[in-house]
Amino acid sequence: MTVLYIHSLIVISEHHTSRKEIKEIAEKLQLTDLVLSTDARYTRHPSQADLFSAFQDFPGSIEHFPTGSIIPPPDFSYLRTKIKTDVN
Amino acid sequence: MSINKHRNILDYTLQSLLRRKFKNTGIILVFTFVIFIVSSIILLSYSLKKEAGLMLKYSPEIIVQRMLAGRHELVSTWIMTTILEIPGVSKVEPRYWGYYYDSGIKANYTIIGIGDSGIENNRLIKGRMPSAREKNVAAIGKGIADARIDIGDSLNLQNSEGKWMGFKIVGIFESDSEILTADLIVISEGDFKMLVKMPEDTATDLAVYVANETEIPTVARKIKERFPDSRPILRDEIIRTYDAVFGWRSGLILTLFAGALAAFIILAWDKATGLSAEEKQEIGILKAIGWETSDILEMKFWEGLVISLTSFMCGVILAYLHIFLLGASLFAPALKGWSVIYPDFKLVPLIDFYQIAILIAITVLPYIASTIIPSWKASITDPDTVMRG
Amino acid sequence: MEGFNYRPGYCDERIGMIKTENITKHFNKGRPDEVTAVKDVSIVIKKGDFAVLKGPSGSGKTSLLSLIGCMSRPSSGRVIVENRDVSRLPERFMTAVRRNTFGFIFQQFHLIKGLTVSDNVMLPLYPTDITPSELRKRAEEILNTLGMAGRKKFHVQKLSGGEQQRTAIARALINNPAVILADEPTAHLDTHLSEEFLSIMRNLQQEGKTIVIATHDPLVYEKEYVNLSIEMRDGIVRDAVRKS
Repeated sequence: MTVLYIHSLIVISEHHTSRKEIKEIAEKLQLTDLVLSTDARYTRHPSQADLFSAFQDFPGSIEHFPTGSIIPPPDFSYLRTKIKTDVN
Repeated sequence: MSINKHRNILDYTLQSLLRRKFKNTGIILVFTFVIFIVSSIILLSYSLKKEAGLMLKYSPEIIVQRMLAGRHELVSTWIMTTILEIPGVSKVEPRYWGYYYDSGIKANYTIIGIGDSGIENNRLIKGRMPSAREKNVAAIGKGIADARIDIGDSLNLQNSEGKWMGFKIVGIFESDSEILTADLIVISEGDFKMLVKMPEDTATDLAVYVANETEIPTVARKIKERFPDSRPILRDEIIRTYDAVFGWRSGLILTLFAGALAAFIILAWDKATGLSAEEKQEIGILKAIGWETSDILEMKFWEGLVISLTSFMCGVILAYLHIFLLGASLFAPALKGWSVIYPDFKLVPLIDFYQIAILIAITVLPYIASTIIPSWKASITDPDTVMRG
Repeated sequence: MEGFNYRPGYCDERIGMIKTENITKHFNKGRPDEVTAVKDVSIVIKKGDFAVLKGPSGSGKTSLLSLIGCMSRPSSGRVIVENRDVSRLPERFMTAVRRNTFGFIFQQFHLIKGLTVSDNVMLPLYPTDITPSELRKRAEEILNTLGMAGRKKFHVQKLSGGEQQRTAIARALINNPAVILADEPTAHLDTHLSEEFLSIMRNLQQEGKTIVIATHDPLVYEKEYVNLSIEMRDGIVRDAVRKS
């Protein structure tokens, strides 16, 4: 385990040196998502996914992309769209 | 408290474990497997979460999308001026990006159209990035390069009119950046608009930069007020999305963890439900020849500790090798789904020792308890009764 | 610590007497299969005695031996070892008395399979302060005196009946007990090996140890050096004869 610990410290220190380069790429290309999967657009860019794309086949359609079970949709609660009702 | 006594008892315990080689090897294998799965999940999810947090903190502070009936629509660039007038906003830039399906290899690419990227001499790019006014050149992610081509080759994409556009590859993102760039095709803004026939004065979405972090929510609220059909996405929300992917409530983690936990509970339950006749008799003999209850329980403690700690260390070491040296290859099919382009996870071994400690607490400690407790009754009973059976 | 300075011939001078006062032992009390193995037994065994508990199977002699050896507690009555009532002692102290005073040779030997002769012999002293090297030395000495030195690395399941018994004897001697208790020691042995066993016991008695054997074998209880003969039947002492 000591060997692995030393290995982890070495890798982390190397990562720090490439961190600057990654930072530049993320910043200059304005990237917002990790490449975790490339099968559905709402799992490729989960943070940008809209309400529509997961149900694009028909309303309430069943998930058919395998990664959709693993990568959840973003939290839409911040949209704060309200419904007002008038009760007579 | 003498060291010799404990050494002798530990010595006996080790001999005892070796006497039941097959049974104990079986237990260690199952236990190690369970720990391996759970630690792999812990290491993978924490490392990815940390990576996401570290990389995505360089994203724009706010992304503004336009919504139509819940669907993401192109945004008009004329609203940029209005947004720029909001106090706190330092810069607004249009983003041009989308997806391209390559039916040849059944892969999805993410295409980005850029202005002057300002990226030069970046060690993670073999070659260079396209410049703003260049036509028909592209930089691609390693996933695409592996699947298709190299620098100097040409990548042909079909535009929305059905015409083929050729792009000479001038740059390839290196594998260390794969987690961000594996499926990217970066071309100039002009080329992008021509490829997708993007209408004038529109963009995919807008990147809004706010100098003061504390003002971000206020700026987002004002954007929403002025443009009710817009959807501002804050950088914090982006990072939180990934917290959810790798958090304990995510599908992947819950499924794997639940399975592993069930296996562990079965193992511990089997131990806890009682001693075999042979084990009971052995305890009786030890009591008869002069071992105290505390000596027997100490022996059982060592037995539990040796097995659980050995399994734990093997499991964690294997998990470390699996995640950080083999790129989580066992979990890859689950994470990959139908993806053709898929990054090689070269994860950084950022380890959450707190979670590892919790794992010890919920596996090693209960296992030791499940070894000691069934022996308790036998060890406090008169040896004569225990040996008679 | 008792037996720490073991030398052949040394015996704990303090153990003068084992006495039982009206001890009774029930098994499975209150259940349909309740059995009273020992009923109201009062006996006295003196230091240096070669005592025999004789009687047929089921007479209670094994149970009485267990009670004397602090392996079980009487349901009523007292067991007194050197003027100390051990029958109501907390478990820890009872174990200490058992370890320091008695060496038990079981009818089935009860050696731990998978361990060597040497390891089995050392077992009683594992949970003590003794160093591993001292322990090994002691075990070797005893095995030498019993002629088992050559077999010390053998696993016990590979031994003959006689060798297993000598291992059991060695184990009973490792802590240099003042009293040796043996339960039907000749039950699985031929005449030759039985005589060998009795000769070892006689030597130990002559070194100052007290020997108590439960048996129904006349080969044992008819020996001339048996100076206390206690006859049991149905859990009761029918007769107790002490030779002067």
